[in-house]
Amino acid sequence: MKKTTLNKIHRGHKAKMVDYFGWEMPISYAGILEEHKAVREKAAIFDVSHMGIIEVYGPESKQFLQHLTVNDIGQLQYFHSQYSMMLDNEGNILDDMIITRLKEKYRIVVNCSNFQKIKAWMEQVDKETNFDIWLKIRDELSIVALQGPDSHNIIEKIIKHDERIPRFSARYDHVGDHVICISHTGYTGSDGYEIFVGNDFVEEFWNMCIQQGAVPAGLGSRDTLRIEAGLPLYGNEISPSTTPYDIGYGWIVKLSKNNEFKGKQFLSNVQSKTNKMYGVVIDEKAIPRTGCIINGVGKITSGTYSPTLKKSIAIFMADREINAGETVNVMIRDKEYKGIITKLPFIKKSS
Amino acid sequence: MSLVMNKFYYTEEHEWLKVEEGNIAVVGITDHAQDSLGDIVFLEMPKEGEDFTQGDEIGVIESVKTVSNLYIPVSGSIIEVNSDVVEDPAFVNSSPYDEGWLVRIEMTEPSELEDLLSADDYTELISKEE
Repeated sequence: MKKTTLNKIHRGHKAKMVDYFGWEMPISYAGILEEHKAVREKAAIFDVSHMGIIEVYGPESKQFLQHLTVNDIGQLQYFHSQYSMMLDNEGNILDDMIITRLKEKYRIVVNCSNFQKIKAWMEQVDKETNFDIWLKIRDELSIVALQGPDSHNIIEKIIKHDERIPRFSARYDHVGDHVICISHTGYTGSDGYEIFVGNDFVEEFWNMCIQQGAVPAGLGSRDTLRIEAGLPLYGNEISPSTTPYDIGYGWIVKLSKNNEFKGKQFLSNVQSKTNKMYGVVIDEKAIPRTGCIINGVGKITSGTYSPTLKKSIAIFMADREINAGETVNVMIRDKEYKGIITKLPFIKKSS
Repeated sequence: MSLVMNKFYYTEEHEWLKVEEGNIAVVGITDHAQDSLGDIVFLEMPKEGEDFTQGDEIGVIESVKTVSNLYIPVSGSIIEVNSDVVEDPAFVNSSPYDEGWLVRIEMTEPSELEDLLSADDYTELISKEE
């Protein structure tokens, strides 16, 4: 199994480890509920170094990414980030991603489960198109997600100044002699940062965050947090056969941008552009898991217990038109449970 | 390493059983089981007075991460359900052998105790998993 640089620290802290798409990652430290609460009320840190970092360099990197992604990279300013997707020629979603425009390159962070696929796809399109670009895989970098309302105070103490980074922007900074790149992004529904740190410095950086009060957290709470925040996950809500419209992300598709791009033809012909991704809340003692059926309505893609609402919640894709407030029957272990349809997210974003 | 209590009986499904007096016994899940499940949030327990045969599914334990069934270690009828843990299942995590007990039963076939694992057997079983 592949290990991140922080693996030793996770094991040293007796974190529970799991195989996550070939990576040995912590599922939890002190417990999912405690870690979840830390993110909503204080701050926690996650090792997300299993995610893939692909950088695009060269005079035609902008044109190359315009051709590859559905969003308009031409609108992306220096040190800003953009949520986007890559589709293949047939319109299948290959992955969703955050792209950040840095000084001399674009940095793309992709799901670990799709990293090899995306890398191969980008290399293939590079050969097909002859844009003057080159790609670089940055596996000498680790990524630490510092999430929660105290994240600002913690990072300010570490970088020793209080100049704020706007949301969905990034900045290089220093900790002693080490250069880090701080991105004001996250995947929890609470405010926070994702910090790119050299593998040679990441253990020290991790410990600095803990000294400043961040609680170490694992993939278990990362999942409960992103479900409460109504954020889709590739493999659950996003699959090759879904469209960006199905999950309410039609706004990232820029059909009007001034060039052909992968998936444009397919997306131009999509008939249904309505959001099919909804939430369901169940106020009974059962948790709907992935695959559970909502009778006559659709199938659950992600379900969990919401530590914030103290109720069971699930995200699903609706097969028919539905309205928030509608009562439905959810099948959990062959029994029917009453659920109320709700718009996503389940919780309002906290700052 | 998880805690295993001496003089308790165990199952391969990670339940424990403690004989109180006569044919009365208490059943719960082991420290190893609660640790593997993580934070337990819901319990579905049988009704008092229900009769079961050894190995029957008598309840459901739902943690944030996963769901697991509770099986009765020996045949018997339910004489008491721990209502405190049904109300607050976190007791199963914090005190699996004591405050986190699940049901009290009256054994109808006490000879079935011979089928169960001893503390030593159970320690060996979980040492392979931990």
